[in-house]
Amino acid sequence: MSGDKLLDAMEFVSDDLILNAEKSSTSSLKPGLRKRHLAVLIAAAAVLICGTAMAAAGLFWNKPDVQTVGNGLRLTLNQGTVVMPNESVGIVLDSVDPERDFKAFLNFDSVQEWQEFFGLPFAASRLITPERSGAWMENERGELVQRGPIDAIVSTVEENGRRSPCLMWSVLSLVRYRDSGEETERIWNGDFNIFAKYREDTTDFGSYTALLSDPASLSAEECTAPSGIPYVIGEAVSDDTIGIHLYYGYESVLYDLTVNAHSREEADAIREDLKKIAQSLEILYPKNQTN
Amino acid sequence: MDDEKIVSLFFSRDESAIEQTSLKYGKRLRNIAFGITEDALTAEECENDTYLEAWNTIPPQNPSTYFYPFLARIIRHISLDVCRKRSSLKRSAVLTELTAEMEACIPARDNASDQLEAKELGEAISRYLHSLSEEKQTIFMRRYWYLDSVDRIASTLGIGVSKVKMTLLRCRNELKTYLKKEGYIE
Repeated sequence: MSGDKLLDAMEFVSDDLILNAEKSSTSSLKPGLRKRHLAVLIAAAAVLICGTAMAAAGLFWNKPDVQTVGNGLRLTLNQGTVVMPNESVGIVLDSVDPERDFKAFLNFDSVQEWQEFFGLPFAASRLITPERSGAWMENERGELVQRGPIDAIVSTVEENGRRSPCLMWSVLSLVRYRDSGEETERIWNGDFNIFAKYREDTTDFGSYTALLSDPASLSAEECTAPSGIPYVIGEAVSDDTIGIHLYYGYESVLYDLTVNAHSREEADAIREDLKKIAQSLEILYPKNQTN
Repeated sequence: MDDEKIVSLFFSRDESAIEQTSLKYGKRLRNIAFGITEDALTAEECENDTYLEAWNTIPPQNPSTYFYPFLARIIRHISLDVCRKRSSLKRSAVLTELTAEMEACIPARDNASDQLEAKELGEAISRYLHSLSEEKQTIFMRRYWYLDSVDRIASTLGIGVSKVKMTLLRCRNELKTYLKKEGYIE
């Protein structure tokens, strides 16, 4: 079996790779950032939050349809499609790799660059900003941060000799902090998975969620935020972790905020945090987009 | 005791070589074995087998300058063998999952790969991994060398599970392209 051969071949990778990867597991995780680093994060978040936060005018908010399929969670948004800017479509098609299932693998250096490329407003909560007005409570806040480039994969399909985008999947990181004195403590970190559907016949949502989830038991709770945005809080329990998911979406853009917990107590606390985020959802526009 | 001194004990057939090796690297080696076998007793057995293997191969091997990676490779090999021979359903499922992931890099139908020496392939993988950022290298190595679960990798590095999965997906695709470009697979 060739997969076995590769696993065995890994035995012969160079010493430095073995040692460096081991070092990463034994060094203690940095608990957080000192306050002097916050200015950098505040500046980064300010780029994201420009313009006035508005209600859902102009966007059709759609409750994600969350179903259990096999041992996974399947999410679908069935209302229409979104449109990618023409220039970006050109870049995607130029980047398509026939060796990799005709997908385009893209990187973005900032959330703003990502937003401008895909032409998408960013729907999130003011709680995930460093602004005091959005704080959960005194000295508690969340921040949208990214480690390294933002990864995006755009799958494409060919019809009548023409290729076009059909599904985008991006991953951003989210970190929740608590400030106390000179130190900032990291409470949890999670992923923002964002999917956008460009063709009516795209059914790939299911395949991506099957890739992301392998739970032993699943549950989902449906609610509506005061802004009128419907959302679903889902929980997937597997052997090692409890994954708490917040799903919301508009038209054919789906957000999946996932945070993993390692105990029931931690899961309950994270669930409460995600509910607070969900209850304060609104739209944050990119800098060059008017309301 | 430094590695050169410990290895010289092996050369002079001094049995305190085992004790010194155990004192210096025992815990790290057990961690590797436990990560793969997920059983403390089995991990200990793998550790002991590793010392025996080291005793039987030094000399002629002289790993003074790379002693820990030398031992780490042995215990990984032994632990994987144990898992393959086991009938434990859970362990088999994990190995099946890992080999299925890696088959994305070398399709099962590719006969050329059967003739490729593991060492040569390992060196090619090394060259590819050295072109990646440190974080991506770590994610790939923790998954396919140390056989960590995705959840454990995410927890250790302080990143989300989706980020780990996406990184692994991208790396496997890139590795496949790299191996094709280098002529290792058709």
